[in-house]
Amino acid sequence: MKRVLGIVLAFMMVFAFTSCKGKEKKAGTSGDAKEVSVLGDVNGDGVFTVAYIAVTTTLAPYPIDILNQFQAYADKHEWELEVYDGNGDVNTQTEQVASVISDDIVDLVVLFPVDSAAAVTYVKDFSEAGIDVITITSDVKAEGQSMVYCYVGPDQKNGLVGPGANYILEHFKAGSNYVILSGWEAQYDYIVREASVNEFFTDAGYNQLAVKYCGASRDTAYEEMSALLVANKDIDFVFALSDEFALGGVQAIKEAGYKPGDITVVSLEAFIDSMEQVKDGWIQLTVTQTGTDLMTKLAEVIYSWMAKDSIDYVQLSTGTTITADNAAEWETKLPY
Amino acid sequence: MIAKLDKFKSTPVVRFFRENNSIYILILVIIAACISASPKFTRPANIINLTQSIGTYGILAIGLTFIFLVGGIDLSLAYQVALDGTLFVLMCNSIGFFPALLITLVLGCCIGYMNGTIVTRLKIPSLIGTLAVMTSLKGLVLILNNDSSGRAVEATLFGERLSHFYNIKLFGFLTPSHIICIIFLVALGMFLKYKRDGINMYVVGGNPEAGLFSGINNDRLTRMAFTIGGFCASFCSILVVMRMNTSTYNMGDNLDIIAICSVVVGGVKMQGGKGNMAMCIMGVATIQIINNVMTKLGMRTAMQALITGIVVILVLILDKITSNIKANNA
Repeated sequence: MKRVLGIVLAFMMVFAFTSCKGKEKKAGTSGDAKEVSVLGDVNGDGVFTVAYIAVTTTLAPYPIDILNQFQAYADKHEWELEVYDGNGDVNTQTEQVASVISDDIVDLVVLFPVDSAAAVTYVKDFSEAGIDVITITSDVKAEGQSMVYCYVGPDQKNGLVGPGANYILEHFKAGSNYVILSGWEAQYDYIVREASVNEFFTDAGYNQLAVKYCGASRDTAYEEMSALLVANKDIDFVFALSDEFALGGVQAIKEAGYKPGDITVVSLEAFIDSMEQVKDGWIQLTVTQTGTDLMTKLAEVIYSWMAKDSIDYVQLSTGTTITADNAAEWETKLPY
Repeated sequence: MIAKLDKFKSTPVVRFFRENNSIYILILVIIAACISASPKFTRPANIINLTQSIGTYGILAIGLTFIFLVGGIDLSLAYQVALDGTLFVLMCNSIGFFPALLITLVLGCCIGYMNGTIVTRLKIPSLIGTLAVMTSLKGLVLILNNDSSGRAVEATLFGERLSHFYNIKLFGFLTPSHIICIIFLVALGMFLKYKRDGINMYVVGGNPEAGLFSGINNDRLTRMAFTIGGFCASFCSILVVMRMNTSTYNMGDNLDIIAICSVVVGGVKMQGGKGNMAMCIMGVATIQIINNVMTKLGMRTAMQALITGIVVILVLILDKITSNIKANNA
């Protein structure tokens, strides 16, 4: 019985797999002059194919927005976009990189790495396979940057962290206590953001009580902040490295009985959900970071790559500071 | 109903499948489906990548097979891999490759032995005991991956020799992960088949009371199984590190799920007493082939996880049906 049902299962899988066959791009069908002239078509298969290898495309609003913008742009410009979702798992991303290299149909890779150190091996493998790489949002570690065409992302230090850090420096004296709510511990952008906060506050004389890593989870931020509020009664401000964590933190602050402004919260990656909190004074400041901003810059960079132009390694996308003054205006503009 | 089933089972086609392990046929059909679905599947580079993954994760699954055989489970395997990998990298950077390798393997055995001791001496169910160990190991891994101020350790890269070693190809296709996995399969397969302790492990998992009455030291063999599991986890961690040329705090994530799913799909009984190396590696191959072709077809990770989960559930349902039929027949 088991064996018969096993065979039925296997044939169901044959059916499922072969049903997906139609979606696959036919490689190596180039030949006529029109196809060869496709801009960016390095391997001559008549299509410009980009592999987007992402840390995630589902776990957080910003990566979701990046994918949506990327897909829309690819559809508009008739690029073939192959999406690989690492789901925050370094082993999965390693498998995907190997898969992209063995497929040998990709002209360009856009990499949003799960882990900056492991990504050094990825870009080295791509380099050996003759495939160019652009990193976005999270860069590879310094050892791998010479093998990357360029890095596209927000100006983590001055553009994203800077407004919040300057706000804090203006409003708090030495001896103030603060906590940082961060994301994934080993991910480049969170490492840079945390380092930037520390750099801004080097001479400020503030006491850093804790750094808590919340993955991509508002709930984890809520739990971490609740525990911090129990353990420390004298937190002056919270520096959240994403609104995802700011919102979890604010929820904990509210439930602990504080009033708006009792504990200052500054953040970045403005969410629609946060605008109400900004208007009500629970979050003092946040900074926009949208997929549209990133895609605008990424498209510019891809066209520079197609034209074989030499450009600066760091290509920064833009952002805007949101406070109670302009939160209502931005509430309708933000994508998530 | 049972009479009809018996008649059906005696037909030539079903008899053929009964006489040949269904997993072999299943895997052949899946491979045929993969070739049909994606021409990219059969590219030599992909086959090498795929079999490297089977070799790397297979070693972890081999260790888990031993634990399953004695009726246990080890939920700490993922973080054993992460801890062993992190320590291996840190030690490689300080004391060199061979001492680091040796210490990592010994550490793997020690963690496995500790798990076995928790289960046998403290009489804590392996599910709970190893869950607690997993939590502790997770904390330890995070501590090791941070410097004193709580920031992520900067450079864990220790040169390129190890990743080159991982990708060395003998005869154009045979890589170290293939060779190591084959050695593990043959050596531990022979242990299970020909050595008294290996044979007795089936008794420990299948009928522990009978084992006790036969003078088998169930606890010793359980500890041995967990130790082998820890040893295999440490070897797997070294291969994962070699592949990425670095260690990360989350390098073990999902590896335990992959190993458990693979071993279950291969037909190794979680309740203990049934399984062998062939079943284990065929299960790993099945899961890896399915994952590989889903990646080739551009399926999102969420969909891949869903399908892999469904496959495992279906296999478990089939297993349950078979057990019920056997019980009814008896």
